[in-house]
Amino acid sequence: METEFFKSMSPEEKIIFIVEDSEVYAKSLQTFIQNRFLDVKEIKTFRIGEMCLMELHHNPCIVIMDYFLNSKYKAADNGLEIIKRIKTQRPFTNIIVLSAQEEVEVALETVKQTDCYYIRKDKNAFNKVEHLISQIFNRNNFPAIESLN
Amino acid sequence: MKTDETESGTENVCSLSYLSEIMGGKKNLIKEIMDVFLKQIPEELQCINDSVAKADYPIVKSLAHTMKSSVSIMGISILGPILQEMVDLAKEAENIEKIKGLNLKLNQICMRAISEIETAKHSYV
Repeated sequence: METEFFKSMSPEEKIIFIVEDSEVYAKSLQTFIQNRFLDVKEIKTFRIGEMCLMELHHNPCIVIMDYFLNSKYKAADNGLEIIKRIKTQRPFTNIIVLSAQEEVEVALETVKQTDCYYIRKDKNAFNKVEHLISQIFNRNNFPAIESLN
Repeated sequence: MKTDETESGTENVCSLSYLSEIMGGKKNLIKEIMDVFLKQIPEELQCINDSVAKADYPIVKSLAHTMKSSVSIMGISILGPILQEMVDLAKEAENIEKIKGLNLKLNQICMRAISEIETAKHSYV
């Protein structure tokens, strides 16, 4: 099932946050986006969601985050809590949730609850992220949930 | 079988084509990611070994989950099912002996991956 709704990117400056507890994955995604979108002002990476929340005053237009965070930090909030807090503080932030295949159901529930976008963490994930960012930057309409078929 | 051959050492555990693709074939960027991997994986292994020794299931689960992302970038597909099984067992907080066995395999394969990447890195200078 696909739900369509509309987003518009307000800031002139393109700032992207990546919240991901695998440093290898975060750095790879950061470098990938930097290469594909040369006009992006800044891409910051965070190992835990709380650090991202502390930097929200930079007004990121997109936050990309793994649904299951906090591998080494027992006290840190999970992805859903962080998403809710971002949406409370910055309701117009575009949030892209990355999640592994076995977590599809819980991730889709998050998408429904919090008005964000979902991409399955597989071999096509980076290309899908590129596509989504491109659409956000171009203010096009796009589905909130990728096709699961 | 391919898996057995890989585990016994007859073929590479890493496939760097995915990394090369997402980095647009740029050697300096590929090397940068390799360096992050070479730094991160020993730290993650140390953490997961400690957690397995203490039977700290929530941390084993979280670390195994994180490592799935890390190893996917280096195309270490053989580790996917091993890490997933660790996640599943740790989620149920059971069968620590099985987790220890899987963790042993994880360590062996990661050591081989590290060795392969250290060697491959020379081609990306």
